[in-house]
Amino acid sequence: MKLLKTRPIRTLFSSIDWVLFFLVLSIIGIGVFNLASIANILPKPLHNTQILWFALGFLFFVIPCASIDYRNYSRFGHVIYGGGIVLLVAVLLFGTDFNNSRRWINLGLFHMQPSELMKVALVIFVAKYLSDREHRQNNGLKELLPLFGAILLPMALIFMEPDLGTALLLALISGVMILFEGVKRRTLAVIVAVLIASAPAAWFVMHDYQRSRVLTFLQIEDDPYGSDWQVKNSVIAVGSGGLTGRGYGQSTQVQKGFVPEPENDFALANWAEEYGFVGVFALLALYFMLLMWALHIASTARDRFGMHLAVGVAAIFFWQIVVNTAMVVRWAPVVGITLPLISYGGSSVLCMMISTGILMNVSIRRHMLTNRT
Amino acid sequence: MVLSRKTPANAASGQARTEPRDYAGSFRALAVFISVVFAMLLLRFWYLQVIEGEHYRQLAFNNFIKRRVVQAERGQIFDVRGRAVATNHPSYDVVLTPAFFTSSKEPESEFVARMSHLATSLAMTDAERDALAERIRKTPRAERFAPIPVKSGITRDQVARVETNGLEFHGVEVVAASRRYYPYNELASHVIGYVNQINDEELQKLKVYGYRMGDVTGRMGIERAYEPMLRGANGLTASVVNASGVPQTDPESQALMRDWKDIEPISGKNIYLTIDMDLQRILKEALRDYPSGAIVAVDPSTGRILGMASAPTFNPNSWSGRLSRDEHIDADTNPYKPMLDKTMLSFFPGSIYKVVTAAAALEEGLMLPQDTLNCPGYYEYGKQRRRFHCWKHSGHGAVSIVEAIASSCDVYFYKVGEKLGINTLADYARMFGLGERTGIGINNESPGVVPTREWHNKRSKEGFQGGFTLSTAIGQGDVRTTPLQMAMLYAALANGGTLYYPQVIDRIETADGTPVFTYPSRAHPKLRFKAETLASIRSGLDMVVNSEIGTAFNYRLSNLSVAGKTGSAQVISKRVSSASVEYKYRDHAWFAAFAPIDSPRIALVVFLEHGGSGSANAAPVAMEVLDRYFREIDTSP
Repeated sequence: MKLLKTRPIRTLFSSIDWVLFFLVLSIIGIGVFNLASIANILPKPLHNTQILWFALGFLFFVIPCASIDYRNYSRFGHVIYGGGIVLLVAVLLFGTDFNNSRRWINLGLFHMQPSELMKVALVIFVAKYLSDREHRQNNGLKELLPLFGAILLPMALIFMEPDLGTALLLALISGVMILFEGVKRRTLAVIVAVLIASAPAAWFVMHDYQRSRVLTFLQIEDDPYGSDWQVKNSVIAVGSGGLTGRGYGQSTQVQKGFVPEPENDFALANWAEEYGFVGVFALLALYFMLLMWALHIASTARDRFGMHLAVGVAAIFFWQIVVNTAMVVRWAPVVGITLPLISYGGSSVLCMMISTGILMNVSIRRHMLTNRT
Repeated sequence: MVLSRKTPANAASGQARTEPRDYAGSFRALAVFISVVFAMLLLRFWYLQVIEGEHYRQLAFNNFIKRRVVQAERGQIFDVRGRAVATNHPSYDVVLTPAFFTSSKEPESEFVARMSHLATSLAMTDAERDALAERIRKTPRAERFAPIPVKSGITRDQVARVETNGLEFHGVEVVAASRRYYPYNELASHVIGYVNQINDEELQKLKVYGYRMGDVTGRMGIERAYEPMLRGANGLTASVVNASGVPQTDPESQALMRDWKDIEPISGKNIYLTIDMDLQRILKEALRDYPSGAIVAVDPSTGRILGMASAPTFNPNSWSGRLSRDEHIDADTNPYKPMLDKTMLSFFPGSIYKVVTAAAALEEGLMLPQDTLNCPGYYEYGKQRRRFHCWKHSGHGAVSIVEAIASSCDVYFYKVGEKLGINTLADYARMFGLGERTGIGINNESPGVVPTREWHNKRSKEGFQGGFTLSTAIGQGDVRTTPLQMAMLYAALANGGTLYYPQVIDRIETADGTPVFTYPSRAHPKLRFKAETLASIRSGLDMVVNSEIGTAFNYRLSNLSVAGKTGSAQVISKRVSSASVEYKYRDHAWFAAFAPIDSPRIALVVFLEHGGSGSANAAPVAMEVLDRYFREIDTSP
């Protein structure tokens, strides 16, 4: 019976989700390996820095996020959401400009991208909103309108940076979560109709470069030396990988600088050129397993909040994987969405580490007593 | 996937709230959605990498291998003494690739600043700079990777300036090029020709022969006619570049080149001419007083052209580069047509043609050398008794054929011409190679005109009329010959009756001196004359210069025996040689000659367009050439 006292703690450790852990670790490994192969063409090698980011992310985000019972997120859901909004306003006021957009806050040691944090904050907020009601229900407009407001506010702020990709990402992620809960058919029809009707309006608020990207993507406008030139080279990189790839450090498209941002948005292009279809298949298989495992965690979660949380985190992963991959193979315009756990970057790693921590949290708590609320 | 709940039995609290297990339908839908999207992505990768993999592998290869054409050295042209008359000088050209030079992200001011720095480094004028900036801005997107010429023939200092600013002048390259250079400038320019860049229209036609934008092609003379020989074959080399076009020299990049083999360029063939630039200088100087004319000098024993000059001339060096506006306008509006090679254009020959009529009369047995005809100063032709005047209105009296040639008696030739008929005269003209191109092989050679009865009938409604024969017999009417044809004809008279094809090329060699082709002298098969015929004509030509009755007696040389024939060809119905009439109505002045008489080493035709009189104008020019030729060039006794 002595064990009883220590049981919650021991259970925390013994309940660690090793499947999740090793899936994430494998993908991180691929990402670091991928960065190492292009180290020579970058101003400075990034794979070691990336390892550092992951280590820091693990220490300061995965462990705390996994340890603090996720029900506290629900309790402080409004605060987390509010904090995210404050940071988004702050970035518009005090942010640092790069490439004609204001997405970063200079924190001295590094630049933070509040929109990355907002993804997680919004998932928590939506999960809280959906699970706060006693029973599952098919939502109508009346129930959804306040939620839409809460989603549109950060979207608008991010759009103003401007960062069209992340803004749309928020809509996609919360869209999955809401549909997961259930929406009345008529309401769904209205929403779809409104989205279609507002598409032209979106066109007018877009920036020139955004329009140009959409046009070149749709091949209405020809821009062989702008973003489309880059994407075409990305497609060449992917295609030239063939079945088994060209080998470590042999990706001429990337090594000779034809593919832009091979450490970031186009990391997959390098991986696909070096390891071919086999390598891409392996990576997508790992992602697929991760997503299925996240759904498994959600389906066995202790409560609806945990379930929605896990589904939301899965949605973050899913949409980023899909949008980034589609961009690399020229199925989507260049919108600056990173590939989870592969792309280099502090804020991106941070967001993914927090997401992983939350997923771990929900997973661990499946096996723990609930009588401490 | 397991969608059922399998937590330990610790959920004792037993709430009435909805549990995750109630979401089985949503989970299933989400799992299916994710699977479908992943399957689509995998199919896309399968398509790109496995099905189209080879295609993209090739595209990737083309991306980082930058092929560069190595221009073949154009063949050189030498004169008979082996002196280069068309050669190549090294030159540095600057080209610029707009895609690398500009960036769509940079502000306009940076572009302007970079442009003016580049312009300063290359000493470009403001106008040149603005034109270049405009061209860069206006380059269509599809052509932004094609280098455009910035400046050719820059100095070494400028090369250094461009290369030390390599980082700023992204996409600016100095390419070693070769520039055609003609050391003798305007001498023999019509024979040698010039080169310049092909235009867009020509490029379309010449692409299949490997011509590229900016290539030059021969425009006249040897340069044009022997373009395929001179051009050579371009080589191909390649280097590994990055996306900005900057060559990569690291070992890894070099390893990518292991399967690449350079194609060596093959230099064009060298051409050795028969002409002598020293003689060309003499010809040019002899023509100094006449705005328009031509001289052709032939070796009578081989038919090789010793020199041929056309006036006015032009400087091929300026035509091979960028012509100034003034030079262009001058070439277009100069009434003396400097760009035409007058050695090969046809004109009324006048009296130098009388040797054809003389040969016909003697060969046909119409006249014997000793037979004489009376010249009262005119000939009354036909029933209307239309008067055809002799140039000497007082008449020559009784003249033999030799005297008729020497004094250029028109009446004698009217009479024999009428008896021979226009078609017999034409037959003999054709035996002398008239009325057809000599086949020298360069420039636009005119065949000239040898009129016949049929030719006249076809030409005008009135058709042939008897008087035409009389005009034809003295080289008027509609007869037209080129100075080159007449030179070949007089060379045949000089050498005893062998009509050669003119030959301006001695041999062709490869760049390393291996003979490719040596041109033998070739004789025309048509000409077969009796010895007496030639002897009579030659003695007539001798008397032209060396007898008191001769038309060129005043211009004979003391130390050289010259035979020749004067000609003053009317271009309108009135004979006008004076400078008082408008230039274009003045007579053409001709002098055809060979020397020395006993064993001729040079045959010469001087043609002065609207130059006046054959004896007063053309003969002195010819004598000056011959005198200097035997004193300065052919000094053997």
